Amino acid sequence: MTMSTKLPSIRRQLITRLMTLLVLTVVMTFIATRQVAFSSLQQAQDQSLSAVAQVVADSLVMSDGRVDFTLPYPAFEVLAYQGPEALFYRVVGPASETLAGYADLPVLESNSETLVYRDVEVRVFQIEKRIRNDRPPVKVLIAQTQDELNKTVTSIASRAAFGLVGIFCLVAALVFAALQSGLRPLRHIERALSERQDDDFSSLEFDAPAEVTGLVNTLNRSLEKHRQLLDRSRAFIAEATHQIKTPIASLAAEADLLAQEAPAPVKSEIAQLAIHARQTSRLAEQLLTRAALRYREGLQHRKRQPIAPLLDSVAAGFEPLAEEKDVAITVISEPKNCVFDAVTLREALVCLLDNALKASPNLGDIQLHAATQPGGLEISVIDQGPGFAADLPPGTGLGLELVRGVAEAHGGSFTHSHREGRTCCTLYLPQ
Amino acid sequence: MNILIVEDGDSLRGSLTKHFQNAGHVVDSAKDLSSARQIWRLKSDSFDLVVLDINLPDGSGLDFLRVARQPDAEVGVLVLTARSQVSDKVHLLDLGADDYMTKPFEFPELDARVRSIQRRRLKKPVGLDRLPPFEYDAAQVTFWHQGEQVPLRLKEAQLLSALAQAANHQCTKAQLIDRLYSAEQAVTDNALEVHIARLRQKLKPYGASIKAVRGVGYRYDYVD
Repeated sequence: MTMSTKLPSIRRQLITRLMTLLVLTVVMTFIATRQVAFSSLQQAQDQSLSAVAQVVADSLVMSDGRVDFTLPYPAFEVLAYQGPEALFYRVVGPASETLAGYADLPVLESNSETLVYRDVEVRVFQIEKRIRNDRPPVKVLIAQTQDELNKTVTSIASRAAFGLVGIFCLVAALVFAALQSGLRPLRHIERALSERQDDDFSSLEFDAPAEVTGLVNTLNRSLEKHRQLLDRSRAFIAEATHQIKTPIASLAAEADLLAQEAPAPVKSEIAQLAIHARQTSRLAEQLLTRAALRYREGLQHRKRQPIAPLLDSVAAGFEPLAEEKDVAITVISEPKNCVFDAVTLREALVCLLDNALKASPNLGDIQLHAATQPGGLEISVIDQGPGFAADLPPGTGLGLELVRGVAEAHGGSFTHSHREGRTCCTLYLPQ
Repeated sequence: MNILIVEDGDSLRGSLTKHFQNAGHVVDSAKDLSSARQIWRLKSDSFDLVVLDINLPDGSGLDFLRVARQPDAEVGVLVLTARSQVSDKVHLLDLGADDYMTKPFEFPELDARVRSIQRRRLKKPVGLDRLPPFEYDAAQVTFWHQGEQVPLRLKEAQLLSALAQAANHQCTKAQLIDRLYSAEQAVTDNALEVHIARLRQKLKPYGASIKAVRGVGYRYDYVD
């Protein structure tokens, strides 16, 4: 029985969670880094802009009733360090007239502001200087584009994010390695369980890490319970057989002895008593054998092994009885190694040979024949008996059912036919 | 024959004892493992056969089987088992039982199996007759080849001895039939032919053969 996997694998779950975490962290880091970098770079830009504006403002003088000033070009050099940004300026006189620079650069309400000017984003810094107390102050505006600043900020944030991805990959590798080694004991258990024989219920013995000890102990307790159950079931079958069959055996044996000594009128009746006792016992035997075999069916005992020794040993068991009837049992085994369960196949063959010997005439021949057929192994028991009548002798039906059960447990079939004075019972076992 | 019966069922033990005694054997019987061991200690050498039950009140008959099957013991062991524990049967033979029967059995089957064990567990023959390529033990009607018993059924051994010992290795059908069957048994030539055919098959590996002699009967042939 194979259990379908309903839950995604631990590895996949881990990957999904790690990826989600990675994406969230990278996005958050990117945003946070960007903000910090932007605010600090803008602060620096503001200071430069303010310094330049201050220099311009310092040069403002009143000359002949007019505002006069010089543009301090060296001061602009300071701004050049910010990168190839475009620079704008405007000096606004007391009467709001543009004294110099770009007349469309808007006057600010506050000291500094970021606004869109000529379709690009610019940072504007504005200071005021009162040259004469009776006149409104002169305003100096210095503006600079922010392209490079934005690029720098993005680059800093990207580098931070990439660094994080690198660290994350390292952590992920460590987590997977830990997972791999954490799952190793489970694979060990899986292998230990799958490699053992089906009726091996011995405890799992290996050094497990503390986390897996509980699982191993639980498995071992379960195995032990199954073993006890199996032993009880075996003991029950053995005991039940013994309890049923011993008194029947006594009954049959006593009836036999009594029949030898009894006067003629009751002799045949006593002999009948013995026959009935044996039929009862045979039924009990077959029921119990079938119970024992059915129990084995659940287990996989089939293995590749030589077939000839099994056939020889089954035939040898019948030799003393066959000699009494002058019946020859011939074993012909063509295939060498075949896949079968020796215990159940032996029971099936014993049953077939028992039927064959009972049905055989004196001096008859019985063949026990194993042959290779396309896709399988065919074992036939051929005798010179009359075949199976519609009303089978007591016990035969159950016996044939047992044989059929064994064939089907092997995934095969059982057939019998009677032709030209020969009865042929055939087991087909796919290979 | 001296037989030890180990069986816990009183009635079955009684029936077995009576059956073997009626057939002229000397029988000792034990109802459990400890009395079987006691008897065995006193006279293990004298037994030819042990009929052994497996389920005994004070233990398993298998334990006694191990004792009886010690290498120097020449005793035959027939196990009686009521068990349907399917793998037991293989196990019993592995442990050295000569044969087993499941209860209940019929006395004719018991006798057949006992005879078969006796023929297989024969005492090493002394004073063998040379009947090339075999040696013949007339007392036990068995043939031997290079120290190994030739696996012949009793009737086949009787046929072979008749032919091999006859003048010119030749017998008539009537002579052979007389050798195999008692006067009151109705026998046909066909029965003889069947036995001859089977014997021929078994002689093949040894290079010996039986030829039909027209108008006479059969002749045994072996060319060294």
